[in-house]
Amino acid sequence: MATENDIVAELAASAQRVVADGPGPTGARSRRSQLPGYDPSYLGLLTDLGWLGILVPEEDGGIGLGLPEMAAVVRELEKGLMGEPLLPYAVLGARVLVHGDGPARAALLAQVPAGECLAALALDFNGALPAVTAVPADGGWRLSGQAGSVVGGVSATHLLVPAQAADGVRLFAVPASSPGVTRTHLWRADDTPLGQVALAEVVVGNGEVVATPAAAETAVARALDETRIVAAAGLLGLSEHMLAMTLDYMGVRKQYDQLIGSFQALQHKAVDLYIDKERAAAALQFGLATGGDPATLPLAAVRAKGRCSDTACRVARDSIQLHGAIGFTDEHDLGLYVKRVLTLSAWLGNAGEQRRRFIDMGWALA
Amino acid sequence: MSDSIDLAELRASIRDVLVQEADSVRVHAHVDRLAGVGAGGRVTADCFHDRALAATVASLGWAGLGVPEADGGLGLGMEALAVLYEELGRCAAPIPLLSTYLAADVMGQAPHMVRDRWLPALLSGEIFAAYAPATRLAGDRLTGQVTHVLDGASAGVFLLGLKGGRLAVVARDAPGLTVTPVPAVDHTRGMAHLALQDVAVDLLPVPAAVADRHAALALACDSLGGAQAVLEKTIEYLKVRTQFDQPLGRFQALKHRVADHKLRLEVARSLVAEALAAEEGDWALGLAQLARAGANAAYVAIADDAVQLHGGIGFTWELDIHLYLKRARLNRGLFGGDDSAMDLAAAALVTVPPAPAVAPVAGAPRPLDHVSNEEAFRAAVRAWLSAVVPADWKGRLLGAPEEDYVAFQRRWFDELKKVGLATPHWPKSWGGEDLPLTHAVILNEELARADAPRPDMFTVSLFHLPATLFAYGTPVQQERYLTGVRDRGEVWCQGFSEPGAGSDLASLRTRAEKRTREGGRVVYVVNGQKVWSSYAANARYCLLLARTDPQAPKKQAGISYFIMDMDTPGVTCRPIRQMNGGAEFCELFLDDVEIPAENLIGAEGEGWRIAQATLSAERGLIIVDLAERLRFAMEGLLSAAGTGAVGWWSDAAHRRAFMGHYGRMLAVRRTIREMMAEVAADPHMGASPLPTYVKVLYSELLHEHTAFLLDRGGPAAQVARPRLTGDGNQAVGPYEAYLWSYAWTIAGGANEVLKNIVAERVLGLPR
Ligand SMILES: Cc1cc2nc3c(=O)[nH]c(=O)nc-3n(C[C@H](O)[C@H](O)[C@H](O)COP(=O)(O)OP(=O)(O)OC[C@H]3O[C@@H](n4cnc5c(N)ncnc54)[C@H](O)[C@@H]3O)c2cc1C
Repeated sequence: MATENDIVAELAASAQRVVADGPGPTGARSRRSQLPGYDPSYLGLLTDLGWLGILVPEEDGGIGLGLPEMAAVVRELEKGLMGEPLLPYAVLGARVLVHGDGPARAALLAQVPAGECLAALALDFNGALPAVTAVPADGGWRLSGQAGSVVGGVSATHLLVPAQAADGVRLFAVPASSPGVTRTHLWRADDTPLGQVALAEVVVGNGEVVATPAAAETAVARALDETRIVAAAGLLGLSEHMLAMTLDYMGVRKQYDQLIGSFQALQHKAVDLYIDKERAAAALQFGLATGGDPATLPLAAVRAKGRCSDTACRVARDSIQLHGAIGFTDEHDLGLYVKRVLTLSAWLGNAGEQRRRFIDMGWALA
Repeated sequence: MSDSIDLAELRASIRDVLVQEADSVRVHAHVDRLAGVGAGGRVTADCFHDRALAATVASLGWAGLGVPEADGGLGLGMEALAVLYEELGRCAAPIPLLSTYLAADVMGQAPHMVRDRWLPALLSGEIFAAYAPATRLAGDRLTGQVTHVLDGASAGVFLLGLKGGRLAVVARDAPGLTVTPVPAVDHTRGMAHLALQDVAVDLLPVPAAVADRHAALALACDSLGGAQAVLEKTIEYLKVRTQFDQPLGRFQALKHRVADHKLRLEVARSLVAEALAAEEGDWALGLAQLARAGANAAYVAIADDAVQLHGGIGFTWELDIHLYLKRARLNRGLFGGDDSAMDLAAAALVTVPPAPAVAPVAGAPRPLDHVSNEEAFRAAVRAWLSAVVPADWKGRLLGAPEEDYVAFQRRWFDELKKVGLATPHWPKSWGGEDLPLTHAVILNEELARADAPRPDMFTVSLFHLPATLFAYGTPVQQERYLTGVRDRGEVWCQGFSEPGAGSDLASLRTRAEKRTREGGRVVYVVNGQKVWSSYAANARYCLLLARTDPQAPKKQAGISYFIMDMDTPGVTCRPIRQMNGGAEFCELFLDDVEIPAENLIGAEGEGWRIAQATLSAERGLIIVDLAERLRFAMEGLLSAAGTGAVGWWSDAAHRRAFMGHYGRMLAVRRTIREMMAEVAADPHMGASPLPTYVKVLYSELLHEHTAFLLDRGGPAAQVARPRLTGDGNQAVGPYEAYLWSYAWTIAGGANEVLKNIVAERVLGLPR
């Protein structure tokens, strides 16, 4: 029987192959400011590999693996700038569905592994619940309001909308083609789309409820924390990649008749980055080890996302500096990674916000 | 007030005394004595200071430095005391003068009864004092505890800050007061706990803010002096200690560390000077606290690293390093600690109204007609700006095509030119205005306040070119090209860097070969490639470095400096897109480009030396108004915070980080003013390190501050918006500004290379 570690290692190895065979930074470059922000054939590949179902339980039709497995995949995929659209659909959207208690849950979840249901969680900036209200109407509901930050929103089949009803927050799966749904988009730092959704008296039935007030807010909160951990893995992968690029460059670029990698101040800087990256890896490990238990999940997410965001931003910053002017050009791939770091570190809360959450949750005093 | 000559003399005379009376041997002896006390000896009130030193100080009358002449002092004020405190900090003097002179300052402002009782005794050295700020006590009969009062062990009188911002005075032997001396790990000073049981005190009409400002400045100076001394000792050690067959100071990683320390110290020094110059009110109070936090932070960072850089010997009792480390650590914790200093600074500075008001002037006066009077000049500049800066010029350039930007730059240059403000910093003989330093400062302040456009496209024309031609151009070149800029707004670019020659500019390979054409016309035929040449696509001319003598023994010696017409056949220019979306910098391909011999600047082989003049202008002067713009942005944020409009302001960590940036900005501005004063005195600036300091300090601050703002903005700050066409100096929004900040840490000599320069040329570490 394969141990858990074997599976993680195997998945990481296949993700490395996917990256090696994939279009890498060139692909990311050609997709800039293009909808839907990923190559549709790539979605097919992810489906074939079964990765859309990694986080869907077996009883719901998925392969029922955990955060460590998904994290291993995303960590590698980000090195090829290929973490989208796994993150919004197979991590955030899928996990929201998993934690639901409503009638819509099972059928949608069953469609996730095959890529038939691409569910995107509708949020506002900084992970806040969107300003959407739900009023009862004709045995169903009428939803109105907007969501300013819906990653994956432009190409989703379903929008997972947390809406405020009189009795609490209910989570609906709104088919993206429903009358009254308007989807627009902005571009994020890495030139991938950020969906924005407006709902004008959108009518949904009771059958579209993914989570009742008893479960909705917890479902969203848990899915967000789980996604933070997987995003942290992506940030770690990006850090590893940028550091490798930088060390490579330090080993070929010569100034003053020597490799710049032989300048001691730069060596020390590189070592500091390496140590920082190792520390981030440890925080991620902690997150993965403790993220499975709902009681420890929030702390796991805060630590992993906070540390990995911080490290990735630092590695990004110093990598440009160590490359000199060439690192400042658009032609060099480094910039693509730096912008991906900016995007992913800010998504669902950067290091400063994780620190804030830590304090708000009372752990600072514990 | 005393002029700076007096202060320098004062410093020298104080130092003369202290090198005798508080040298390392004496301080160690005192520390050993106290350490012995800690190990079981008897604690007495007078064991916490060096009595012989106290006697000397009393005989010298230093106590009178800051006291008004009418009260029997020398009336030299806080500036003189600052020198004294710094010198005391420099040798970690074991004597509680800081607290005592602070008390004397306050008592001098108190009513006769109190003043007559205490001031003479404080001034004669008969007794020492101690200050406990911001206690929780209130009223004129006090009951309660005050712990860890600095210098409390030696004090004969205590000054207490009460709730509500009042001050009280109480004698050590007052009934109901129990003073328990507390030795500190920093054996150069002592502390005490006070227990008060219904103690009658004298309330003073002097606000506690007076004492707080004095305390903050004094502590800042103590830290400054200590930091300077421990850094000097460390650098000295790096020069003499050899390992791996070389002095430690040759290891680049260590060079960078001490260069960073030197820069920290410069920031602290500027900030303290800025705080000393602040006249009164919340501004002065806020700056004093900011200076205190800044100087203490520098002291701690330097002293901490000093131990590490000394290795094993740094860990010994015998060396001085631990004395400084312990003093630094105590300084940081005093008077509520440095976090509270930042909070006090924030609270004081949010209330400060931005920039001086001036009486409005009608119309669009020509500012240079009003130079006789600074106020009038400011008013005229302001009125002129409000008349000529196009409303919403930024809005119109958002996402605009490159041509619009270029056209707008030309229009703005013309506008400046019309009133002589395109080249105000040029000498009169070249059509400039010889604008006095004070006016240049005002001009920059006003440009920043109005958020006026910056003639970025003309940067090389306005700074690099004159810095080069004033000193090295022929009269014909000067006449032709300086006039071209001044009268026709000709755009120049700089062709120095090459793909293989970035930091190591001297290794450049572009080749210039001298040839004689028919008719005896002498030309240089140039072949090679240049890169990162900003605005080259818009430029009419290029300042070009090329190699004329590949055989020269030193690679620097074979380089010559040319003026290249960008329209010459063989010049190909390709813009390079940058990561911020702009494409100002370009690649230049030079294929058999013929440059007439008269376009050689200086002599053949002199190019390297001349290029230093160009680079010096690049490093410092073009930052002058940018630092001013940063100031306005930050002060805008401060006043918004004051009205509760800044969400993250209530988060102490963010607020303190911001205040740290704000302090560094003020420090850079001061360094810039010093640099401008140097330039005014000597336009070539010789070997001055100031442009290098300015470049590194500004770029690092800009980078950290924009990253900070970007983080505060979260994902919303990262949504793509149309960018302001042109380079990022006037970027709209934190994301653009953040990306552009790399231009400043890399261009004009990457910061790493500049730190090598600081370490080798300023600190004297071996190459
Ligand atoms: C926005 C922008 C505008 C520019 N405009 C112009 C222009 O108009 N004209 C022009 O001629 N040039 C221009 N430059 C180029 C600039 O001068 C160079 O980028 C700079 O000198 C650094 O060279 P490099 O980029 O080749 O980096 P490299 O020299 O390759 O350096 C790479 C890294 O190694 C480090 N390094 C190199 N040597 C050492 C050492 N001895 N010790 C320690 N660390 C070292 C550097 O600090 C850097 O981190 C511009 C650059 C930028 C970013």
